[in-house]
Amino acid sequence: MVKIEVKDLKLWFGNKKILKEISMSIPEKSVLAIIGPSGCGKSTFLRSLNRMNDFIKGVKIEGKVYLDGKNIYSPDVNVFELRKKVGMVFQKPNPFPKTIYENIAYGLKIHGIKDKKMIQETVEKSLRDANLWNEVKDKLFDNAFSLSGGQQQRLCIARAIAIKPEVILMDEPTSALDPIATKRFENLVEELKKDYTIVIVTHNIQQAARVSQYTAFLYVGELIEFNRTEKIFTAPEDKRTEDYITGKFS
Amino acid sequence: MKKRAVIEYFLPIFGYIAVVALFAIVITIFTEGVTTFKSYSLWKFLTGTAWRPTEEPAKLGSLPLLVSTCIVSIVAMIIAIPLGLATAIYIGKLANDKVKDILKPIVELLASIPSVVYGFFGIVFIAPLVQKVLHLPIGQTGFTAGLILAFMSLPTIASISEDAITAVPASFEWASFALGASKLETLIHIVIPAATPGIITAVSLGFGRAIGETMAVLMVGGGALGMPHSIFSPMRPITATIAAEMGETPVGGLHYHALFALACELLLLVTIFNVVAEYFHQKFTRMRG
Repeated sequence: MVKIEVKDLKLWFGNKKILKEISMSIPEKSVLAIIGPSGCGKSTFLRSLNRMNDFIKGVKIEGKVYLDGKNIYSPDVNVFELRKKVGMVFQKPNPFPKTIYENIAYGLKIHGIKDKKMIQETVEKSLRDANLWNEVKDKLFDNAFSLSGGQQQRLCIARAIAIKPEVILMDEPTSALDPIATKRFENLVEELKKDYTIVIVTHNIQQAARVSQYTAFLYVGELIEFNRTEKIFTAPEDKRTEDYITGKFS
Repeated sequence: MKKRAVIEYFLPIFGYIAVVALFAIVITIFTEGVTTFKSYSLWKFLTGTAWRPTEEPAKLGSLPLLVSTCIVSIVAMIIAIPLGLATAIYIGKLANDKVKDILKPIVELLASIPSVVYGFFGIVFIAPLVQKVLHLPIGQTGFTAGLILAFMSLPTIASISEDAITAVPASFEWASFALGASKLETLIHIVIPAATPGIITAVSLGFGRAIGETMAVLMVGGGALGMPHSIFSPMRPITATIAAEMGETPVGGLHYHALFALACELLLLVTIFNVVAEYFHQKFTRMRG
């Protein structure tokens, strides 16, 4: 099943064309890794899947992105509902300056859930699903900043999955984490793909090989190659893909 | 090496001069003020409702003055805090860059208008307006003074709150937007709580300006010395009383010392307020981590 279908997506910041005619089909309940050298448009592409680029001044977007067959750029789309369905985890852990509990309850509250018991249950379930519950269950009302970087990033996952998204976008989510925290994070991604469609931007080629079923290679705003991960890593079709994954340039 | 010596030895000296000057002022005020209570009861000073220092025997009840000070400052804050915050939010988050570049310097310029100008403006325009609109026998009232003080402290509150709001990391907002929150929800639930320590600083500076302001309240407060019946009565706060009477009293007399005692009272009030503000500041800063 295709979850997201990108058709001829083009994006400009001012006069500069950042994304050039990108098309791809992202299968449901799988992990897609987006790799490519710095400045190739990976993060911009990711943010165009939940319309976070809308906030950037001078941005122009053409083309279509279908989520379950519905174009998210069509004028009648409720962008708040879209972002509820397409959650996001950022490069640096960015919990709110609130308690651990409040960090997760916030998303529920803004989407109209008032029932206290239901919020409590969802907070616990989200923390369990993010493999964080055992570490924080005795200090739910401590400040989220008291957690380590890796814990904060898992809290951000818990916060994202609390509002029951269908897709989770991750923008280099482990770039600020140490190797052990990274490993834990990757294990979590492995578990989450049973329930969610995950798109992960990463600088780390090994990480792409470890966690993803599909890989897309972007180079200067162009989609060079999109395929099953094992295919990309064993028999890339494009010379540039091969050069990139073998470390000839970065 | 020489440059370093200058920085290491001379700069601290300037710092100490400021501290020493501050302590010297406080100590002088308190020693002069305390002298009052050798010949006048402290209790009567604090709770007496008549301030008639030139009568024989003098009546030095400071309560009406203290009440007046509180009334004008509270009226000022009730008006200035919501307006200042709204201005800060508008400039910091809603206005486009062009409008912001014009508004922000104007607000900061407002903060530097001399208080006598505000007082003059208050006497000539605001007091008659207040009298007419509220059908009062006299336009120079505590409320009028509070209104002028609100104008005076609003730029401080707006400008410093705006700095605090703008300083909230954008990553908090991104996180909130990515959860499907609107700009308004993000502002109310994320940005403003995160900016609260800065907003508390803004409010305490604004309050400090209001409570210590002398010229404007002397000019528009109405100058009545009795216990104010309502916020719409003429009144004379502590600052205005000290300013008005200091020049007309013989140095070293009871009245002279009583004015210092008034200064002590004001100083204590401001200190208590600052301690409370600092407590909340710390509390919210801790929440930020």
